[in-house]
Amino acid sequence: MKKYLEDLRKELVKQKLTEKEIDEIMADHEEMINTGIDEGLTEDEIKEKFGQPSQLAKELAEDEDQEPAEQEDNDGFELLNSFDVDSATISVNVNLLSEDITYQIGSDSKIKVFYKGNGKVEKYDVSYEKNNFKLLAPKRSGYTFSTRNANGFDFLVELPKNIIIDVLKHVTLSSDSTLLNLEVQQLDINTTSGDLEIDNCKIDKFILHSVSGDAACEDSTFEDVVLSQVSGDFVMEKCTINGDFKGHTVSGDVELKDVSCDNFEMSAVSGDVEGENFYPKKVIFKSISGDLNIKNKEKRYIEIVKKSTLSGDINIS
Amino acid sequence: MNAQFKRGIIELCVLSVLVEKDMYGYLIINQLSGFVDVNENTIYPILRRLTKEDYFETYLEESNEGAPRKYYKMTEKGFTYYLQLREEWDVFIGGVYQVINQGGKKNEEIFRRFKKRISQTETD
Repeated sequence: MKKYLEDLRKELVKQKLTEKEIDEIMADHEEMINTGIDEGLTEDEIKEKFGQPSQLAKELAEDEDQEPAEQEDNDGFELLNSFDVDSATISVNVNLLSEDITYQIGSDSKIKVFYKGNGKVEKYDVSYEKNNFKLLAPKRSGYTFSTRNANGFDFLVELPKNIIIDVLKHVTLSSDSTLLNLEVQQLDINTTSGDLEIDNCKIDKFILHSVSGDAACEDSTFEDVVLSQVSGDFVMEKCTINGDFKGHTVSGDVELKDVSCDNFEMSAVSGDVEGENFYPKKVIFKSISGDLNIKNKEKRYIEIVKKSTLSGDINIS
Repeated sequence: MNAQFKRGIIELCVLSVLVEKDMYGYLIINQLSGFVDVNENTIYPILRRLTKEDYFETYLEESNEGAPRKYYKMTEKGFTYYLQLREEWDVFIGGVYQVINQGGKKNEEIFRRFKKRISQTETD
């Protein structure tokens, strides 16, 4: 066992791993081998279970090599593609797996796509045709298991200034998404576990489907909001909804602070709805065990049209 | 077996073991090598890399035998990654099974047809 550890240290030094790395790896192996000895393994059995130190050192060194490159790219985004836009309205179609993405407004009339990360970024389908911008993650055909480069990207999409986006459709598995200062006629977001952040946007129709992703909207105006979530939470702060807010939640909570709207129609299983300075004109609330609490400073009339809950409470004060 | 491919499978195995409960290194290796022909020098680098990528966290816990052991605990990020890999695997292996079972599942049956074809080509 001493021999194994000595050999391993030699091999790790040979592979030029840093002292810190070597110490960590050695400590892990001492622990594992000692456990083996405690369990009564013989020298030969340990050799058999642990394999060749040289092979181990080689694989560890390969993994270390991957890292510096990653760190270099962390500093900034690189331009991937740019398109001239001469139309006043465009539509945006994005489909990603786990890449984080930010949408923001640029300083000229171009769509610019920036990325950071490692791997084959050219495999992404990035195009602009007939006023339609697309950013699609590579189709998964077959099985590659190339986990090192999988989804190692973040994207930044700069959209032209003074542009109106008629439809922004965004589908993702676990990407976190941020929308800044956009004007969108229809925003359609579909996320499994990715979080969403909307800041200072003007959105006509906002449709959000989320399984466990959280969503936060701030300083924005909407015409209508349609929300469907399972366990993700939804937070809205300092927003104006000119039309209705319709929502459905299973266990995710909804928090509305300094928000006003026409009809507020919500159905919840166990998710709670908390309102603070939340001024809907009408409330329709259905729940199994979810509560609806609204605490307002100003006294404004809120008409409660329909409420049905099994064990949830409704407090409006 | 292709090394990269094997590594991917072992990665999924490591994730699957740790999705159930927190474990220390030796136990993980024991669990996997009991089912799959693989030894420490394949598993440990994967464990270390996945930890560096924040798919696992580690903590120390005293053991009955003496020295504390380093436990690996799956993070939420790790879980999302596990789901993704698991889905990829199911899609892949489903496809593979469809291909290899095209001729049916019974070896005798496949062999009978194969023999018939061989004798046909011989008589041609």
